[in-house]
Amino acid sequence: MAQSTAGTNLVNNWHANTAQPAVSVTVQWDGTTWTDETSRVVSIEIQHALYDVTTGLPMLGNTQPSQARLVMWNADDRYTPDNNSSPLHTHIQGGIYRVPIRIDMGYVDVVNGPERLRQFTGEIETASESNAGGQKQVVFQCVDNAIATLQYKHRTTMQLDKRPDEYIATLLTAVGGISTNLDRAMGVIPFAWCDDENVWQECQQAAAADGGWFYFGKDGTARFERMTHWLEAADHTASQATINAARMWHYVDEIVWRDVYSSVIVAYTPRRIGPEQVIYESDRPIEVPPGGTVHLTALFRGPVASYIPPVCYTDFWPVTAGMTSQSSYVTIAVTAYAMQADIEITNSNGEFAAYILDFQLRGYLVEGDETQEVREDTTLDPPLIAGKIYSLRENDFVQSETQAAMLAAFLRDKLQRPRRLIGVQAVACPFLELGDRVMVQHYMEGSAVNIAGYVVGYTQRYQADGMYTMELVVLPVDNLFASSNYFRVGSSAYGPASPALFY
Amino acid sequence: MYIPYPTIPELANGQVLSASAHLNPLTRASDWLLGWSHRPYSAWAASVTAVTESGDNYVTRLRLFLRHTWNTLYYDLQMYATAGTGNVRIVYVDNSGAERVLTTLASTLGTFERKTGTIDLSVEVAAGRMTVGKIYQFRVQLLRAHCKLWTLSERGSLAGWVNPTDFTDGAVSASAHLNALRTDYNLLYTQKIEPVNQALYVGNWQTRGNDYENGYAVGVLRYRPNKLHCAIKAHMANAHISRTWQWRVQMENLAGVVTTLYESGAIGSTVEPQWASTVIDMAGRGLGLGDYYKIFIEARRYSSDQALYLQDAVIVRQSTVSPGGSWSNPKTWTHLDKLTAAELDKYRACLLELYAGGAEELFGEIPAVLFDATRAGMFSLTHLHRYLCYLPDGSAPTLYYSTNYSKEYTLEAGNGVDWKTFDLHDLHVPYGGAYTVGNVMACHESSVNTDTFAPHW
Repeated sequence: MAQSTAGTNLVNNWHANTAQPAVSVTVQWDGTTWTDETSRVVSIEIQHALYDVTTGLPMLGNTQPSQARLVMWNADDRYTPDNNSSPLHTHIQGGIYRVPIRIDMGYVDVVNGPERLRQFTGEIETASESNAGGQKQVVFQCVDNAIATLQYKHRTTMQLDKRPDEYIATLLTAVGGISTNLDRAMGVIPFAWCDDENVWQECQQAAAADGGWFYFGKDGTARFERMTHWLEAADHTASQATINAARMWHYVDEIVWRDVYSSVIVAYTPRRIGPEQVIYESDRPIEVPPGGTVHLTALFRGPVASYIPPVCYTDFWPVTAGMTSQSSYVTIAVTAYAMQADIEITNSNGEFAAYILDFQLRGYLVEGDETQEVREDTTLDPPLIAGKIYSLRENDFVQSETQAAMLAAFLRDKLQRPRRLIGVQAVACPFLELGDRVMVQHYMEGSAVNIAGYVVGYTQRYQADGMYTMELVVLPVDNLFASSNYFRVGSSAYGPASPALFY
Repeated sequence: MYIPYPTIPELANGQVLSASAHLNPLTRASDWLLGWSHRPYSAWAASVTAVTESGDNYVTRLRLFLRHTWNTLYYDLQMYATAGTGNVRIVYVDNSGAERVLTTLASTLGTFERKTGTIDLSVEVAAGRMTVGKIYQFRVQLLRAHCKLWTLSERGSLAGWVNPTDFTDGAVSASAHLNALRTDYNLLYTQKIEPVNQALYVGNWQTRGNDYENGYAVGVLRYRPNKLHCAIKAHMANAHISRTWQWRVQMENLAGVVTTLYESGAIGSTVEPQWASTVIDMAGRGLGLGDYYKIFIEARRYSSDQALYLQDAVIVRQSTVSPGGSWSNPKTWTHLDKLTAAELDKYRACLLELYAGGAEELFGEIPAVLFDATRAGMFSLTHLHRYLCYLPDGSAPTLYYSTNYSKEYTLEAGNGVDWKTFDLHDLHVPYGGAYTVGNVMACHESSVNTDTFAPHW
């Protein structure tokens, strides 16, 4: 959604002939205080993208984190870890890594002064110094707030019948410190779990299972947008900015055949909760010293919906080496996740070691059935392409025919036609965000042609004392959805003339 | 459940409405519940004749097992006093093994009067004396009273039901319209779909007389259209084609009127035990939807002086497989469909038929299983859930299934105290088919294999 411009004149200033860029770069070197580094900025490049030539349309669920590249003046070795006299030395002596950074950009208003909006929120991932011809610079390569999820491995209990947004929220809460803006998903994932897996990947998969996409916005907020998102919010149904000939200097119109398929196959694996059974067995006696505690990790035979707390003489036999019962001394605490459990066994007998024989855990495995498929063939006659199949098979969260049917039909309509991609280079419009609807205006044989489209790629460039520009990749609205008027709960009316039902 | 019930997502205003994600789950829920409404259903056992206690101390005359699921306990019995004021009380054995009185009923009449009512078991649950998923023994105790038990059962509650949305063309939609349907479908599923399927106690019987004796197998059902499948397994000593026997099916309504529904001709006996069966049209018997009625299966020797051994019986209500009332299947929605009130109102029509008073009313009733505490016996039931929970005594029970119950499977023996669970899935017991379990104290089917039991002796 476009950023709010309330209280500013950015709507007019961004394309004014006298537009003067206003930039602010702040860094949190000590983890708490934002330090202004703007005066050292040589250049900035920020890339936001929902479309990538290697990953295709955003509906395919493979978005990438936003990145920023800052070139900073470093003649005084402020950013050099080896410089003991740098005021940052305490914080960077071990190197610059995962330091929070914010970039705000906009224009100077004649009345209000600098008016800036957040363009990037993330962390410096690498800092590389260079000295060319006596010009000492450092380059900050930054990744948006996704960096926290990229490096966070998490394990969960089994999440039953959760919507993808609910599951994503659970994962992000575990990561901590991430604000969210998550659409209510279309459907539910019957069984979702994470077993020491990368949270970014999990969020992407959960979003894709619902036909939506997951990414971090300019403000560092994690966003899940459902498959109907672009049909709903005003930022996507009405143009937020017009890019006309007076504001751009480069225009490219390309028809992309890469994402054209004659059929779509979506595979799903139904799962169900199986009967009570043994989910873990210890293959050895577990020795617990007198008055001691041991910890072990039990890896289950498969994903588990729930477990049964171990019962003495059913699930374990606590004895001494002489086979005297130690049941009154031994306690077992279990912290269970979907695929494993942390087990803590305590022996309160200060004189005898306890041996836990035949230890097992019982529970309910989530069993997978045979994988099934939903196939949707092109409805175009004649088809534009033959025998090219888009196969969505590797998403563990697609588990029901409901999910698969919706995805297959939706993707078929997206992928059966080639998509135009409009590329423009223009003065930077700082309030645009990914997915925003814009109007691109160019001239053909002397007549203006207006093309409405969604921003799927947004690269900003700034040069100190130079221009502030943008390069947009715009996905035209035409034919992207089968109808321009879908039924929306809360505003559409019932009846024979009602708006159309979505997939 | 063998067949998963669909998950219906909750909607919020502002969402684009999806066929696959939002409306079709409602349709599938409707399909699911209709199918359940028409399932074959085995009768539950009732008193063959009145039980009596003329003394001045309470004596247990009937014992039943019930897997606690819902908090409303319903009783329906007939009683009268042997002298002065007679009492019938209903008790159960709680988690600690103590007997707890749930209600005491009194009668001063000299002829049968009907007593019905409900008991709120949530008090027992809140006090920690009763737990969902545990099997409890219930007892009917008498003091100077005669008693005929019709049913002791747990019922689901439809508290929270909202009036299904009545759609109107031209009206602006709201998430509440569709979420109301979701609420009602889910409520019917959680409160009216029994996760437990009870069994009919049959026992064993031997007759030497030429007249029908008191009912050999007696089951109670609630009426729904329209068929009744009854079967009997008999064996005559010194069997020969010329030595014949006969059986009949009778019905008793709540008014005490007994009518004969079916009577066989003479059946020549065979060396091997033999099954005989019939399907009875129950239309026109004066029964309204949901009415309780009692079915008696009886047999006698016809032209023989040999003993006739009655070994098994099956009483199963069957559906006409024809949706009743104003039922109209909601459509399977597709992309670009229009949302007309006529189509959407089919959900309302279906919900109202499934609700109390509708033609497809889901009774949501789990009857307690009557059993004979003195000996193991025969039980019959229909296969709806995956697990058979059974209470074996010291000898191994046998499960009979398939055509003419010709296949056998020996179940694990027990000690008469501990319940056991058997997974029916791998045995290929016909889904929805009748089967019998012999030499067991009590049994029921359950959708989970985690039913545990409270101390009960």
